[in-house]
Amino acid sequence: MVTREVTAARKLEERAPEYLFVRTRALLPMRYDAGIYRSRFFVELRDHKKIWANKCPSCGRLFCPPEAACYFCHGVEMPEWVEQADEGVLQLFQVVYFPFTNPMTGVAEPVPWAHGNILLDGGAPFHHRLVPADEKVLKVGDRYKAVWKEEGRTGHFWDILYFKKVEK
Amino acid sequence: MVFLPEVRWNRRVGIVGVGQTHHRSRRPDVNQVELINEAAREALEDAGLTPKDLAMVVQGNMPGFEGVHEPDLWHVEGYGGYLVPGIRVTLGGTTGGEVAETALQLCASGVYDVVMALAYEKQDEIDQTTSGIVNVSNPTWGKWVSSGAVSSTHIFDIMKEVSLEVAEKIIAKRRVEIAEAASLNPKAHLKIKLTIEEVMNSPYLVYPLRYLHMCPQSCGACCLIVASEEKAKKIAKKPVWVKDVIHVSIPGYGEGGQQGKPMHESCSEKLFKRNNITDPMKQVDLFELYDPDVWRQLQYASWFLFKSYKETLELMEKGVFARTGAFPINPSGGTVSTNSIGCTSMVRVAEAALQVRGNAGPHQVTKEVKKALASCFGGGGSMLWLLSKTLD
Repeated sequence: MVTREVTAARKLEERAPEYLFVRTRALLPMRYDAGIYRSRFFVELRDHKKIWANKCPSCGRLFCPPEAACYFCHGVEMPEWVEQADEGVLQLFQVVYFPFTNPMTGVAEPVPWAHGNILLDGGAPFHHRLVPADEKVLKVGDRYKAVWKEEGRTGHFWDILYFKKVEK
Repeated sequence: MVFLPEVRWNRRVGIVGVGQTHHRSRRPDVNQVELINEAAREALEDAGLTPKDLAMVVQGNMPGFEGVHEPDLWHVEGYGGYLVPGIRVTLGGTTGGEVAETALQLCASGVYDVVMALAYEKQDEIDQTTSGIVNVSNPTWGKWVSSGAVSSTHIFDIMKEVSLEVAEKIIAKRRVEIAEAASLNPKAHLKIKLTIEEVMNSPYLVYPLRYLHMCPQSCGACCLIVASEEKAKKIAKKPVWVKDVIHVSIPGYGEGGQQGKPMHESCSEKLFKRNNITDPMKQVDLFELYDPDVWRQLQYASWFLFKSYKETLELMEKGVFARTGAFPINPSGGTVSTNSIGCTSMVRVAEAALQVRGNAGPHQVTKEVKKALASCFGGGGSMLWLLSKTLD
């Protein structure tokens, strides 16, 4: 519904008989550098199918993917690496039912899709996609395992396709 | 968990002018400059000032949503700020609050006497609000696993204390109550009649967050004019005094999980301590709270007021937070009814100020408002304002 506002300051007669617009489609190609810590993390994903976290020497928190500094302890360098398993316990999940354009690709993904936090064996919380996207199947406390891209890994989020429930 | 250093104000500051456009999903009849102009004009008229009286203008909106680099240069036309110093600050959903806080600080510092704060959003010009918010996340990881502000992590947190079945009914009742309040607010966007059944049967956006739990995408602008104590007393019959503002930041969306609880709690902990508030629901009369959805109204109210989710739900069920209740929360309809993102946080402060002044309009609360709280939120920032009728 088009609403036409009339403020006290501007009378209707002064306004245009129809309202036009200019359409533009700006592309914004970017090349984001992964940085010191995440470059190493991505190399491990790509070459060895391994997930590594880094550890804050001050509070002991694990970050996965790694961070340059612990945001709880204010700018502490975190050079200690801790290897993680590619499976763990589901802590939280979300099933997305509304479609929106992914700003990374410019394409709307088919819905529903799911993502969630998995506490990896090794102690680090990890955020990735989940299959199936169904709140009746996904259950907090269940074990989930990574499904890897077998061919053509590039050192990217999508080197892991998704996490899948481990059947007992 | 309070990291903030002490803040020294050189002088008190009052809100002397309030302006706000009507908020709508589409405003094809105006461009960004004209939209801003509506709010600026109303605030200047409210204060009885002209742009020549302004020492400084601070403006902002959600970064990137305007699609123009340095939009502040274009927008000078909108507020008549030719040859007036102007700056732009942005902070996601907290922008409106941050713009107002910057204006307040410029004034409290003692450098500028009368400062205009101006915030807006015109979301009908950008196709995808959620894409913009997802774009806030870390580009090497978080952006692939985010649905932006449309998220349900907070509901899972609430479900640890109260079952979804029980909570959902009270949330739906509260949503109906919010719609009733918004219907009285002439500036609100979603003025709709709702039933509990409609809310409970609306489709999922992100399980278990439903369509009618969530805020809309609005277009609108808001403007506040603040002045030093001396000037404020001359300009306005009833200036609304800013008693205090607390503002904290955290890492935003994504991989570490949102650190919302310590963020909100440290805001109110500090604010209450500094202003000798031990029982906020008795010592403060009203709360304009930034609530992206009804569930987050429950969550943030619990955090700010140091209550369990169960306790807050009980108060909600009893109608304590209704416009006519003992401790009204969002008599304006809140963010759930109106969300012109870049100015939403300022609308919270503006609506609280109008309630303190006593001329909010048809949605003025029934009780007398001497002190009011207003909260601002977005991504990695939270802010809490305390406004007062008197200077003491």
